[in-house]
Amino acid sequence: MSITFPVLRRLTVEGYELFQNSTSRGIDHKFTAGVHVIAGINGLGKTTLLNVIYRLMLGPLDMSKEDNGLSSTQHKLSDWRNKKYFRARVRDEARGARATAELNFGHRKLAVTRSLRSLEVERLELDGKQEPVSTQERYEELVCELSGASSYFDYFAILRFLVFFLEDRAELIWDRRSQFDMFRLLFYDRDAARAAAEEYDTAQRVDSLYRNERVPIRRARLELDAYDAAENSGLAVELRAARAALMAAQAQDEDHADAIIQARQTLDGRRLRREKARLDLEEVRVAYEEEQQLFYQHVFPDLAGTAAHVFLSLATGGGCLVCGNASAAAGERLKAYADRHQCPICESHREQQENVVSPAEFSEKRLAKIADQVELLRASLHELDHEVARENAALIELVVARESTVADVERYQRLLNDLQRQATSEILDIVLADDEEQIAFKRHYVEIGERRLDSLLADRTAAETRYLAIKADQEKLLADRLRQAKDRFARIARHLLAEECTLREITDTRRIGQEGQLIDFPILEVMMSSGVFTGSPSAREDAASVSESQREFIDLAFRMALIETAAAADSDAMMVLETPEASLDSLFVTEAGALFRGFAGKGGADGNVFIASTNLNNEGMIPALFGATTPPDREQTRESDADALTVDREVARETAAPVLAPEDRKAHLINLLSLSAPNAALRQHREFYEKKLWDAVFDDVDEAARAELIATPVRSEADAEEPETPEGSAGSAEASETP
Amino acid sequence: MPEAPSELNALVTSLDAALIDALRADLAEVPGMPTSNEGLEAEFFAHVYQYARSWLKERDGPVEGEKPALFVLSRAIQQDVERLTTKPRPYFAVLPDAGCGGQVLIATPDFSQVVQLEDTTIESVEAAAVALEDVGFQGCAHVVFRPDRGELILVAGGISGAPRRVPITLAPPIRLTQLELEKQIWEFHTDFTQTPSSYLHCWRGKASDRVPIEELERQISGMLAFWLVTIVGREHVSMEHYTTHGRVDVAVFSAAMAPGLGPSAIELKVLRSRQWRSTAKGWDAVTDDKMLEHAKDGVQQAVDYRAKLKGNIAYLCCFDARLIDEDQIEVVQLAANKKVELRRYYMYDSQPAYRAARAKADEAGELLSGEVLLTG
Amino acid sequence: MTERRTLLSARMWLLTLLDGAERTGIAPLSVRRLHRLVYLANAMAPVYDLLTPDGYLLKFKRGPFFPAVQWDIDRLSVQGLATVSGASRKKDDLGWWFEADYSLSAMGMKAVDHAMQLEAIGEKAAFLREVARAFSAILRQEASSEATADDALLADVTFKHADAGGPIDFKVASENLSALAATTIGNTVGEGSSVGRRAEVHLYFRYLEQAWDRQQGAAVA
Repeated sequence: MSITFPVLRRLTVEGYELFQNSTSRGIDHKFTAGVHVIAGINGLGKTTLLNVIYRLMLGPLDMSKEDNGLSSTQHKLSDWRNKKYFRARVRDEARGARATAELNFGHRKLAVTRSLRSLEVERLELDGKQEPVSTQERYEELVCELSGASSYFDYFAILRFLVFFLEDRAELIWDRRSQFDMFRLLFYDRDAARAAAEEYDTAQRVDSLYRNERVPIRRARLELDAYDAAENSGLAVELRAARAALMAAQAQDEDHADAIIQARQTLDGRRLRREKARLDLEEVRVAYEEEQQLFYQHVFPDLAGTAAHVFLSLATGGGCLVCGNASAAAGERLKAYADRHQCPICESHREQQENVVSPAEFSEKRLAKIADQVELLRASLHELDHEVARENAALIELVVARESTVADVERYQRLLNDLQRQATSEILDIVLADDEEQIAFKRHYVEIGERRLDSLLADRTAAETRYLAIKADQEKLLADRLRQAKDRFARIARHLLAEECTLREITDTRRIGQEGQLIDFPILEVMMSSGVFTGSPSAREDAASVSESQREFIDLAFRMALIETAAAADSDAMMVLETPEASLDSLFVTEAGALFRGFAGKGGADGNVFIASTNLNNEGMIPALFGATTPPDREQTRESDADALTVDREVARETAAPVLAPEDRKAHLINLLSLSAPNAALRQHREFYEKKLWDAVFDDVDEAARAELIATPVRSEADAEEPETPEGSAGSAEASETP
Repeated sequence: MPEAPSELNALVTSLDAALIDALRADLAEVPGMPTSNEGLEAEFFAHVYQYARSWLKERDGPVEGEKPALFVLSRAIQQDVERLTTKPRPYFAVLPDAGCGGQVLIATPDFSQVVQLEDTTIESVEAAAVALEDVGFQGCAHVVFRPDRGELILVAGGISGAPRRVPITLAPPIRLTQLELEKQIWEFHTDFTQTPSSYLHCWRGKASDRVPIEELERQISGMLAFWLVTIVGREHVSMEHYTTHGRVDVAVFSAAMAPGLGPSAIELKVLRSRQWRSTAKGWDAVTDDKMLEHAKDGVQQAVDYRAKLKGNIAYLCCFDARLIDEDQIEVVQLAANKKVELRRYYMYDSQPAYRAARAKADEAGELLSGEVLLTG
Repeated sequence: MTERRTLLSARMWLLTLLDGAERTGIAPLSVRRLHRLVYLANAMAPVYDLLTPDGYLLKFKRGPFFPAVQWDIDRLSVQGLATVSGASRKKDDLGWWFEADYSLSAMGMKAVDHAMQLEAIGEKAAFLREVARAFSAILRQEASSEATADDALLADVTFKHADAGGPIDFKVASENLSALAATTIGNTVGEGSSVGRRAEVHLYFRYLEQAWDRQQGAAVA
C-alpha cells in the first residue's frame, strides 16, 4: 500500500498575541509548491510557529515514550503533557487564538481549525464542506482515511518521524525497532499494518504481563519446590514433628510451671495459716496448762502441809524424829513457822519460796472452755496439717511432673537443633513458618498462576504467530519497497555526502517483547566509506559512528527516501525542518539547500512543500534554500562515480534543484520580523535585522532590484485566486525564472 | 507429712523388711484397751475372762464344788506386795491349769504380774467381799470367778458397786454378721444401760433427774468393748479414747466379722438433756441443738474412724439419756447420706418407764429404738 | 533455776508417770529409769498431741538426766507424794552420783485420783500410763542387771543424734525427731495408714528394742 502524505497548503493564525503587532493581525500564509522559509530572530516564535503547524496537524496527543522511538511500547497515543504550551507564551493565555491548517491529501482537502488555547478542534472542512462533527476523533478518522494510514498512531508516526524534522526529532535510521515499525506502517497493506500493530502490541503486552506475573509466581513456585523437596526428603516431617513436640512440651511445661507457682503460693499461704494456727494453739494450750496449774494448787500440799509431812511426828506431838526431842515446844515452834509461812528448816519467807500459789481461783468452767478452744484449734491445725501435706504432695507431684516436661523440652530442643543443622535456611524458613493454610494457599496460587502464565504464554505465542503470519504475508511486498527505498536513499545520499553512503538490507533478529520467539526483522543499515580512506564501505550501526552533519544528512535522506517510496501516486509530500540555531557548515548549508529544493521541486498536482525555519545568523541558509547560492561542483572521488551513465535521471534533476525566482521569494517567506510581536532586540535593531533578512533573501539580486523586490507586496491574492493553476514546482520555478 | 530431716531418712532406710515384719508381729501385742481407768478395767476384765474361759475349757466346763476365785485389779502391785503377804504367780495368764479356787489374786490390768494373797482363802462368793475389806481393796475393781457355774461376777466400783454376772461361753469365738453385731450391742444395752437397775451406774443422783454421769461415754465404751471381747475374743476388739477425731470408739476387727464384711467401727455418743453442775439444782439444761451437733459430729467421726480402719461398716450408737425418746431426724438423714448405721438406745430412768415403753411398742407391734429381736 | 510457770503441771506429769509405773507393775523406778521414762514420755508427747512439761530440758552425761525432774521428784518426795527408798551416794568414773528408787505414795495416789477428776488430766494420764506400759513391755526381765534392762532407749533417734553435752528440748513438736519417727514407723507398719497413736507409741518402743538388739548384735560381731 502507500501513503498519501498531508501537505500544508495554507496556515492562518488569528488572535494569538505572539503573532500580532501594529501592522499584523496574525499569520495567513499559503504554501505553494517549493521551499518556504520561516525567518526571524530569536524570540519571535519560529519554533512556536513550527509547533502551531505540528499541533494543528496532530492535536494534543503524544506518544507515551517518544524518546524510545516507535513500537517500543504500545501503538498508542496519550495526552500531550505540555498542553499549555501555546497558552503559556502569551499574556492573554491564548483566549480566542485559533489556527487553521488547510491540508491536502493528494486531491483531497481537509481544513482543520483548532483553538490554540486548548488545541480542541473547532472546525473541520472536508473538500470545502464543513463536517457536521468537529472533534479530534472525527479529525483522526478523516486523516486516517485520507492518508491511508492504518491508524491515527501510524499517521502520527509518519508526521513525527518523517515529515517533521524538529529539534527534538527522533532519528529513524539509527533505531532498528522504530525503523521496522515505520516500514510496517508505510509499506504494509493497510489492514495488515493495523493488524500487525495490534498483534505486536498484544504480544508485547502479554509478554510484559507474563513477565510481571511470573515474578511472584516463580518465587512462590521455587519456595514450594524447596518445601516439597524438604517434605519429600522426610526432613520437613521430622522438623515439624520435632517442632510440634517441642511446642507441646513447652506448653505443657509452662502449664506445669504455672501450676507449680500456683501450688507453691497455695502451700505457702496454707503454711502461714498453719503457723498462725499453731501459735494460736500454743497460746491456748499454755492458758490451758495454767488453768490446770490453778487446779493443782489444791492437789499439792502447801508449805504447812509439806512441813507437816516432813515433821509428821513433830506436828502430831510425837517429838522430833531426828534427835528424839519430845518436848511440846518443838511442835509449837513448827506451828509458829507455818503460821508465818516460814520454812522451819531454812527459815525462808514466802517471797523466797517456790511460788506456786496463784491468787486466781481455779474454774472448771473456764478450763472446759479453754479445753474446747484447744480442741477446736487442734482440729483446725490438724486439718491444716492435712491440707499442707496434701498440697505439699501435690506440689511434689507437680515438680516431679515438671522434671519430665523440662526433660522433654530439652530433648525436643536438642532434636530440633540437630535437624536444623541438617537443613538449609530456606527449607527451615518454609518448614518452620509452617502454615498449612498458607502452603495450601500458595499451592493454589501457584497452580492458578501457572495456568494463567501458560495461557498468557499461549496468548503471546498466538499473537506472535498471527503477527508472523501477517509479516510473512507482507514480506515480499516489503522487500520490494525496501529495495526501492534503498535505491532512492543511495541517490539522495550521493547528492548529500562526500562519502559513499548506501543502505543495505540486514536482519534484525529480536523478540517482540523481552521474551518470546526470535523474529527476523528486515531493516536497513547505513554503509559508508570512510571520509579519509577510500575502499569498500563499512556498516555504521549507530549515530555515534558518523559525524554530526553526516548524521543529519543520512537521517534526512532516509526520510526522503521513505517518503518517496511510500507516497501514493497522487500524493505530494511535505517536510518541515527546524534549522538548528547553531551556525552550520557553509558547504553543508548549500548542499542541504539544494537537497531541500530538490525535494520541494518534486511532487504531484500541487507540488511538494518544504518548510524550514531559520534565524538570521545562518547567513547562507536562506540563500541556499531559495537557490540564491548553489553548491560547488563536486569532484569525483570514487571509481563508481566515473560511470556517469549509471547515474539515474533523478540524481541529475536533484543536482539541478530549481532556484526560486526572486520575485516569488516573498510569497515563500514567513517574515516574523514583520508578523510577530516585536521583542526588545527587534525594536532596537529592526533595520539591521530587516536588511540582513533581505540581504539573505535576495543575495543573488543586485541592490536596485532588491529594493524594488522588497517594496513589492506579496502576490498572495493572486495565488489565492488561482489555486487550480497547475504549478509543478519545477515548472513554476522555471516559469518564475523565465520572465 | 512434714519434710523429713536426714536423721529420719536414715531411720526409714533402716526399716528393712525383717524389721517391719517383726514390728508388725508386735502390733498384735499392743493392748486393745487404753490405759484410762475404764480401759484398764476392761482389759483386766478381759484378761480374767480369758483366763477363766481357758480354765473351764481345760476342764471341759464348770467343776462342781470348786471354790470361787477373787481377782483384784491392783493400783500399785509392788506396794501391795510389800504391804501384804503374797506370793508371786508368774506366767499366771498362760497357765490355765493353775489352781485358782478359793484364792485371792491381785493383778496388774494385763495380768503381767499376778500375786496371790498367802493367808487368805475364800469359800464363797459372799466371802469375797469380806476378804476385800480385810486387805483394804474394798474400792477396787474386781472379778469373782465361779468355776462351779462357769460365770464371772464383774464389779467395777468396789464392793459397793453393782455386780454383773457374765456367763463364760466355751464355744469358739464367733464371726459376727452385721445383724449379730447389732444384736450384741442391743443386748449390751439391755444389760448395762437400759434402766437404772442395769449394770452401769449411768445417772448422777436420782435417775428421774435424768442427769447422766460425766464419764458415761467412756464407761459405756469400756464395758461395750469388754462385752464384745467376751463374744469375739480379746485380740479382735479395740477401744480408743481421745483420738484426734473423737472421744470414744470401739472397733471390731475384720477377723471377728463375717467373711467379706471387714472391720466395724463403732462410734459411741451419749445424748443428754441435762448436764451435771455443782449447783443447788444439780444440773444445767443442754439444748437440743447442741445434741444435734454432738450427734452429727458422731456421724462424721464414724465416717473418719471407718476410713482409718479401712473398713466398710460404721455404727453411730447413741445412748440416749435425753428427756424424750425420739429420733433426731437431721442426724438420721445425715447418717443415711454418709452410709453410717445409726442406732439409738434409749435409757429409761426407771423400770416402770421401760415397761411402759415396752408395752406400748408391743401393742403397736413395733420395736424399741435400736432393738434387735433376740430370736432373730 | 529459771522460773517455771507451770511447775505444778510438771510435777503432776511426774506423779502420773509414777502412777503409770505403779499400774503396770514396774515401780519403784530408779533415778536412771525415771529419767529415761521421762525422756521417752517427752519424746512421745507429740504423738498424743501433748505439750511436754515446762523446763524439762535434758542435760546428759549419765544417760538422759533432767535436773528439773530431779528437783521435782525430790520435792514431791519431801511433800509426801512420792516415796524414796534406797538413797545412796556413789562415785564412779563419771564422778559423784546418787542412787534412789522412787514410787508413788498413797498420798500421791490420792493426788492423782483427785487430779483425774479433770478430763484434761485424764488425757495426760492415758498417755503417760501408755508410755509406762510400753516401757514395761521392753524391759528385760531376764537382764543380768537392772542397769542394762532399759538400755534400748539409747537407740532413740533424737538421743543418738543429739550433740554430746548439748541440751535436748522436746518443746517444739515439729522438730521432735522421735515423735516423727514414731509416726513414720507407725505408717510404715500400717502400710500407709495410721495404726493409731497408742500403737505408734508401743511400736516405737518395740522398734527401739529391735534396733538396740541389732546394734548390740553388730557390736558383738
